[in-house]
Amino acid sequence: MAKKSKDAKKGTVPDVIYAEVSVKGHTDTPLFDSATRITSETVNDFNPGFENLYSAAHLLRTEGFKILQVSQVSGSVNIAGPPKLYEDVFKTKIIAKELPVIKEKREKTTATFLDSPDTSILGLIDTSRSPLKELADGLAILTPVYYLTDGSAGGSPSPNPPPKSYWHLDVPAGVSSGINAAQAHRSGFTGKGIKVVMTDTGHFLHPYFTNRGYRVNPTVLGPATENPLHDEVGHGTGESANIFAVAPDVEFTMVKQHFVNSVGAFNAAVELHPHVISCSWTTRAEDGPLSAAERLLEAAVANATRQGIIVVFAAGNGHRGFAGQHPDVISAGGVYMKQDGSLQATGYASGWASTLYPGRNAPDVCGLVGLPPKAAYIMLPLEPGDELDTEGAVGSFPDGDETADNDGWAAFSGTSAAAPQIAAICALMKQASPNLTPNQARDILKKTAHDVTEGEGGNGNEAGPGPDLATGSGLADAYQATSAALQSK
Amino acid sequence: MENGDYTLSAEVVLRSRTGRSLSDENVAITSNNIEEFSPSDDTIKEATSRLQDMGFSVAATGVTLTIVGKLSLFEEVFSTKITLGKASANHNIIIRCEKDPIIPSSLRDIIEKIIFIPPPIYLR
Repeated sequence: MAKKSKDAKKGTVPDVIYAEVSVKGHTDTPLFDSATRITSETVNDFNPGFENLYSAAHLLRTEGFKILQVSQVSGSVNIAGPPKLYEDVFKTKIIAKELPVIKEKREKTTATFLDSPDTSILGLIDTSRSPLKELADGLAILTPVYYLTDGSAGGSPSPNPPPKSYWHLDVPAGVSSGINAAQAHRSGFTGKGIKVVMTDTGHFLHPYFTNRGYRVNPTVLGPATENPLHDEVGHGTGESANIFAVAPDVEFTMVKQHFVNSVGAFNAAVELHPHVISCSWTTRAEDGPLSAAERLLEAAVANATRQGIIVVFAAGNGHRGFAGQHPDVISAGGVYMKQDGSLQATGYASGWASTLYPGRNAPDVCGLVGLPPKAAYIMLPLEPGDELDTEGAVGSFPDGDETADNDGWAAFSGTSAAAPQIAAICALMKQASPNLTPNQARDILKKTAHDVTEGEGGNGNEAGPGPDLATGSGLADAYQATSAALQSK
Repeated sequence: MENGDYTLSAEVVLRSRTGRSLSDENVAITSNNIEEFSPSDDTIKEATSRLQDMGFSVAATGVTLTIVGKLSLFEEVFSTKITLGKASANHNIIIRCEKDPIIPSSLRDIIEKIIFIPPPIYLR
């Protein structure tokens, strides 16, 4: 057994520790103490049954840990929690050590490794004095990993968007400026103290977010989803950048719903008690009647709003879907800002009079959205090589975004971008006026929006003076809305 | 992986405290009337307990319960046959029941029905 390094310097223990709990297999061979090497031939001996795996997850949740992933493939449970929780449950001490490592570009430096002094393996916590002693072999604190690239593509993407010659918006500056958020920031309204949750395909912690110090909580796994550190599609990661462009100091959490149970994920978002929930997706409702699943979403949205949570839904990209027409939501449509700053309705975004809810028009207000055919308009960060990164790389603008297929950047928008922009304005308003109700937030957004009088929406309705079916009340204005919220206190 | 080992999630509609049904009535559900469709705390607790005893993971976070379990467990408890399909290459798992799930008699006093949620459409 390797001896632990004695010449390590002391480091700082983080507020949240991530660890992998190895659940006991169907043999008596412990994973960590065995002299047997783990190979493709022996790995099955370490594989726990379904019951053990979920019993361990249940017990860990009861003890207060956040369950990030239950993996039958690795026979382990991925957890997160504060250091004191680990110390209390496993009757140990967590210490931090600075050890030498080689990072990207062959940089020789040190990194912080966490350890329990009670065991001889670095990062291993003994479970024999805990309630998990019958179920778990041990618990490995996750260590830093480094991508073996030159940092230019793949693995570790650039924190800054690639320059492109066609007209588009960057984050944060382009979106912030276009929706007049920078002026709100200068007045002290940045979303500080406000919690925003998004339910989407997942979230990848791109350097775009970490380098700017944005507050991104660990992803919460929605029902039956996996891989909290990854966003296989890229949609959630990219669209979330719209939130920080408008409200850079919010506390953000992604609930990963992927393509599984969007109602369960939405309810999980409500359970986090946020101030604002942003949804960049829809269903196939059209003129109804609502399906059974849509009926449950209708109830979930109503339940959230009743609790005072502001719910923003994308209106649709030519869809007449749900829940962008629910009477309780703020329905986000799309307006295109040209290079000269002038505004027009975009044929990419929905706008229609609901037949499900007579008198209800969608959208209420708009965010910034591109033009057909692809709305390649906002350069957004995502996980290198994921679906949107790969898709966007095919073809020249406007059919493609002219980025590489693994650079971690792609140009897209849709009302998926508008919803988080509007949600972020709501966060600014909520900071300015903490008791603001969902209805008040919608009224203020509508009253302070810029009327859009040109262009045609995605459902064939023309923009004109005053509220219309193409853009609702027009393009939202973050500064004006925040100022009005402040005055309404 | 065998289909039976696939992990699924569904929403469980509980009987409301007023007798009004989320799934049957043709009235818009909003923040003004959602309370009338909500189950009592006792119903939520009892349903959670019974479903957990059957082997499901249960989250009681909304008006409905969210349950997670293996496909084979769903088939066994709700007397149905489930097939999985893909709407496209990008992970859209479609769940099809060959016959409507049947709520077992041991749950019928507190549970109206279970519903599998189709994949959402992302609006980029």
